Amino acid sequence: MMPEASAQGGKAVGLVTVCGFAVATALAFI
Amino acid sequence: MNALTAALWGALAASSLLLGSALALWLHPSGRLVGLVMGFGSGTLISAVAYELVPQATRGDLPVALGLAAGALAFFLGDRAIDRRGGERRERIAAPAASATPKPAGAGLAIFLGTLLDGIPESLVLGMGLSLGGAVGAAFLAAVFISNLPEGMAGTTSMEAAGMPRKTIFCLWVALLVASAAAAALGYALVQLAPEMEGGPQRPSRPGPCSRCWPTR
Repeated sequence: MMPEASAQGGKAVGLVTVCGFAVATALAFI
Repeated sequence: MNALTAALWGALAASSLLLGSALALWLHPSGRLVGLVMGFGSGTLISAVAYELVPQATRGDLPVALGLAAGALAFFLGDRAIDRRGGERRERIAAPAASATPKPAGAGLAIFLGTLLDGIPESLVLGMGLSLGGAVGAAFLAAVFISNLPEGMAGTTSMEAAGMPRKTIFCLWVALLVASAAAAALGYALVQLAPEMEGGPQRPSRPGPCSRCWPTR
């Protein structure tokens, strides 16, 4: 999933991946 | 909470496949947008594994390690088998017009099987988590929902590029949604049927004194 996401989305994919991680982590601790 | 409720949660988590499919069919989002959504979904999945799934399973270190290795191996072998049958492009976000080369005849089925390989274990875990905890892990549910969205978008785009009719594509995603709901119910039932499992629900199988069971009165 990540290789294709990076190929299509460019460098910004790294940032949104971190955002997704942060959102899900926040949900896990609520 | 019962198996039907678990099935409904499984269906809800998988419903983003249909949503992603509809978005791909009618809005034709750019590859960059789908790639960004995939990246976001990947982040949520990594978090769900790190903070929801593995911590809940760390009651026995060796079995958990073996389970993780077995799951990774099963996914690797299944993914490789599907790639060899023409499904290696299932996550490619190529516009139908750009597909100059003909796709393999079995590519559509391989694409579907690839998504099935992703979705069934997720739904099983969701059902098991519901059975053990009695509540939906919001992070895991969000992770599955969000990660399914780009899969639906990319899979639909690829299947359409392979020449599959829109009606067939829609029916395949509906079938996958039903299979996900069934897998969630199965995961729920498996835990309920194994009450002696450590950490699992402990309920009396029949009335009578039992030191490990819930009181009957």
